[in-house]
Amino acid sequence: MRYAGAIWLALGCWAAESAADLLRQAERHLDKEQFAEAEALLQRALKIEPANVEALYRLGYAGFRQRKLAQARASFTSVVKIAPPAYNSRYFLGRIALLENKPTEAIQWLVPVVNSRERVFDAAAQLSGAYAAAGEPRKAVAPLQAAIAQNPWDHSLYYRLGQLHQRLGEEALARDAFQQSTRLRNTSREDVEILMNVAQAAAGGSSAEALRRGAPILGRADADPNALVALGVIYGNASLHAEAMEAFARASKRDDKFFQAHFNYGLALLKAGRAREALPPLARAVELLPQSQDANTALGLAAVMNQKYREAVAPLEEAFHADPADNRVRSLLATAYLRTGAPAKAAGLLREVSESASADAASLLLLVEALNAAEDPEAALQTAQSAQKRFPNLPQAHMAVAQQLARLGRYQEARPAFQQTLQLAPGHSEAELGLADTLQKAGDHAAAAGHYRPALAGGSPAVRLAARLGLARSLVAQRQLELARQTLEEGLAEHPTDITIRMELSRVYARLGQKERAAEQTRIIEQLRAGAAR
Amino acid sequence: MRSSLLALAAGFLLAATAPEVAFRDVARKAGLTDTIVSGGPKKNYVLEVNGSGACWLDYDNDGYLDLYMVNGATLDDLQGRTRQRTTNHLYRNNGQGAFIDVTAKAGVPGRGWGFGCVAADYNNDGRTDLFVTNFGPNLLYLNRGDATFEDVTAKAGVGGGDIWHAGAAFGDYDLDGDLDLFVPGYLDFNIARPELKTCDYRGVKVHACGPLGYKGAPDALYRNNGDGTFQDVTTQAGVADRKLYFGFQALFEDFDGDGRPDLFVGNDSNPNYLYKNKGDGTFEEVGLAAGIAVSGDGKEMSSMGLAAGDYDADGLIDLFVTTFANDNYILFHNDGGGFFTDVSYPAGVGEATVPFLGWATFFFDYNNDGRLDLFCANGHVYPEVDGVLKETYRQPLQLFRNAGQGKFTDVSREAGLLSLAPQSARGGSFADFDNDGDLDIIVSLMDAPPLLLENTGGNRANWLRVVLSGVRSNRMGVGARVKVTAGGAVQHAAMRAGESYLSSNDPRLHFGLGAADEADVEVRWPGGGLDRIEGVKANRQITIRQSSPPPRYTSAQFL
Repeated sequence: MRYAGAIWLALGCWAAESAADLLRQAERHLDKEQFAEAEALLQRALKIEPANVEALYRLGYAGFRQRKLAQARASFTSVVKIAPPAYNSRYFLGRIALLENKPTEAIQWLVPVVNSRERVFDAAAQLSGAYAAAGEPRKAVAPLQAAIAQNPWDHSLYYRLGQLHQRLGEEALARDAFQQSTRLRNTSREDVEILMNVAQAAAGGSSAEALRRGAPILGRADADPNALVALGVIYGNASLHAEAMEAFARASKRDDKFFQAHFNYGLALLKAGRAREALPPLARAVELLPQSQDANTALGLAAVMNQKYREAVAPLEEAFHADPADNRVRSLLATAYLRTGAPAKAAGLLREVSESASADAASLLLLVEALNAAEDPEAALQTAQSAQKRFPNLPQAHMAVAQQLARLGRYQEARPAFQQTLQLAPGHSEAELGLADTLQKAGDHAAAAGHYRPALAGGSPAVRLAARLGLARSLVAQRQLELARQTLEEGLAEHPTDITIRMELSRVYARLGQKERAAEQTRIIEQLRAGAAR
Repeated sequence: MRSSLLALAAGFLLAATAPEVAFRDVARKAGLTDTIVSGGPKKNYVLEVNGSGACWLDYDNDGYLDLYMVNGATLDDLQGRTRQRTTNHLYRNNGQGAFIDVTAKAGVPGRGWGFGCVAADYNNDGRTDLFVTNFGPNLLYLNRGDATFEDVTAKAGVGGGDIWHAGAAFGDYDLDGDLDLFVPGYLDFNIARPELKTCDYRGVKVHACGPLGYKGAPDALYRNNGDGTFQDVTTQAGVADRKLYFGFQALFEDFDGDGRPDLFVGNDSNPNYLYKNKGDGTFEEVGLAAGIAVSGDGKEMSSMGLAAGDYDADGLIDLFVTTFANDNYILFHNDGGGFFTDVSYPAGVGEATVPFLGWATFFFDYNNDGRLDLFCANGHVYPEVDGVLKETYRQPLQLFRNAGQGKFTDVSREAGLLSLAPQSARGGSFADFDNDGDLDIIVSLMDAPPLLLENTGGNRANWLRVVLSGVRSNRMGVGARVKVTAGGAVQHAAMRAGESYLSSNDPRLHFGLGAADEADVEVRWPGGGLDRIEGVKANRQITIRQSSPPPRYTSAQFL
């Protein structure tokens, strides 16, 4: 009995070694890549605490390194179950699937990891590989580009990108990627090391340290343009925009034929809100590589932001052709079409987006504008009403409905929508104007005047003019002729060449018995017309 | 008690189920089967899209109104490449609901491409004459009194030359007792070498582009010399249309109540003219200042048809103008003093007319309730819109019932107009062609026989018809103001010759009296003179001859 108790006691002392202790011991073995030893300790730890995710994860890692894929899979799967999202475990599950030649499963594991934007090893590059293995080279491009953004010095990634473009038949893009790979391969080891250190500091959140580490490249007058671009990318990712721009600008000056330099420079300027300055480098980038969807998109966006819509059409068409599923490009192209007198084309593009449940308000409202410009006001009204239903708290949606109804002459139906707009956006000048018009059309001139006045106080010159004319008409209807006269005369300074204000003034003068002044306005109108005709 | 209750119930049921006054097309039955031609079916030129007019006149003085339908032609006809087979048509009303074509016998075939007509007794011989406007020289047909007419155009001097003439009107502007003539010019169209244009209408390519892009044609005012001749006084009268606007339809009316007929000219796509009669043989153009040159929103309109009438019974003649598609038709309320306000929307005729393109229009009391209702004939100019836009080439007719208080209600459906197949309508006018006490309608259509819409039920309410016979004033009484008081309500009407669109209405003034069974009638003659008859029984036609003694009322007391 005493002997059994002694054995029991010995066993109990042995069990007193905690899971944490075992975990620490296993960690030391893992650091030395002694995976079998680590595995044994981890298994013991898990007997004590079966749901210990740290132990499970490390057991999975040890199994992965030993290529004990089934065991590794089981461990990582447990971690994902117990402590989601467990991006690191997902990453390894994706790696395991790739090793087992199951690229589709790999994609399922890796997509959430890449989408999370957390830096998990080389998840983006792995995902690109999974897509490529699954026979979807097009989908492989974006994650590979993301991987390049994270590791801009890595020439192998550019090489892989070149292969993808080649597979997609995009020879020019493939050539550029291969060239970039070669250029980076020739970048000095010193520069590569600097770049890796900068990336590390940036990833650690230390901007000052990142800048300090990058100074040897940025400060060098004869810095390698490839290194400059890579540095710019790292700085850009770390939100060090000014420094990123400087790096890109210098790279593009050092090598005028360097697509990446011009493209990244333009992109950085665009992101910094300097859209006008972004145009030349982006135009140069497209000139160097017309097939680049990203460059075309960026150039199109810059042109639209600068209201150079005609210049935006060609690059956006190119970008849209490359990826018709890109709704951002679709909307931009629709805007460019709309502003260059091709509203039917704009409407055609936007209709597809509008029918999906994920259509945003901006697309719907743009479609309303396009349909109006394409002379289909009934369809524009339907679209506006759809936007109104989907976005009931958006004043612009109600305003769109109101404006459409007014355009169709259905003023009384428009009134509630104008009122709703004002409830959501008090003081909205155009809504005040629209509401005033509906009241005037109903013959309620006193109420109409009450809304023309605030519209007159705010809004664009066109709104103020319309409000002034509307107010004057309602005042005339209420026989307040002197006030109508005053209202119109006050508008002459702001709208000296507008004919309608003088038409109204002529009417009012005539009603006041001031025939000479009425006749004078008629003469001025004729002069203005003659001038316009010339 | 029980029988009273039953009677009450029956009465209630009767009232509840009393049929609405409605119109039905009896054109075929009446023998109006000739197609009105207006160019080819494709409408490649603006010349082909404006259609033609319809005029009522009792040419044989048998008490039944006869009908003159103007007809167009084709480009090949005008260019001499084909022999023209179309003529205008004079149909004699046989008093039995049928019309007989007497064109050839009467000698009024027209010539070339006809547009409008006005029926008026220009020479005060008690017989109604005809003036026909054409592309090219107009025609003045003198009624000989033996059921035939004589072409006296050259003698009268009102041919007008080789331009495109539109909707003319007669009026005694100088108050000398005979009818003067105003003829608007539309546009300068090169018939020998017409240009096939292509333009964009709301995204649709169309060819009958215009009138913008063309030069306008001049208007003309002819003063009646009283001896069968006229003198062109356009320039000295101050109505010379120096801006060469595209004149569509004119009418004479004393809008400002000063006893002198003013002249309104509806211009297409340009500001309208309102010429105020200064009383010295000249006019002053005051359209802008009067508020009637453009719409209430300050927009120039495509003014097609004109309807004049005192719809709100305030003693002032108002004006309604039909316009192009996607623009509402405009109701100008006469505010007095020569000023007008666009009340289209408050009156209820704004929104309802936006989808349509309007032509002939008139105020008339279709249900004899004592209030002037409003009719519009509609139809697009571009056949190319069919199937592409929501607008259609063929459109329904519209009828707005005057609901009182200055408001109208769309009763097109109740009146049976929507049961008719839509057509591309143009000219039109009203008349009681069957003399049954309610007003019927003739509508001229594009490339189809006309519609003759017989009023069924309007005569359930009482009515009175007044025929004027001037002595010192012009024989037809054009320019006279008639006031009818019945059942406590007052109505004002004016006698005109030429209005609507390229057309003339029944020359007898019709008044609905509702339930009133008698009325007092007062006539103020143009140039002075007042005649009054009291206690006239309802449901009859009376003739009021201008009394012999010189007038006791000055022109200042007209209203």
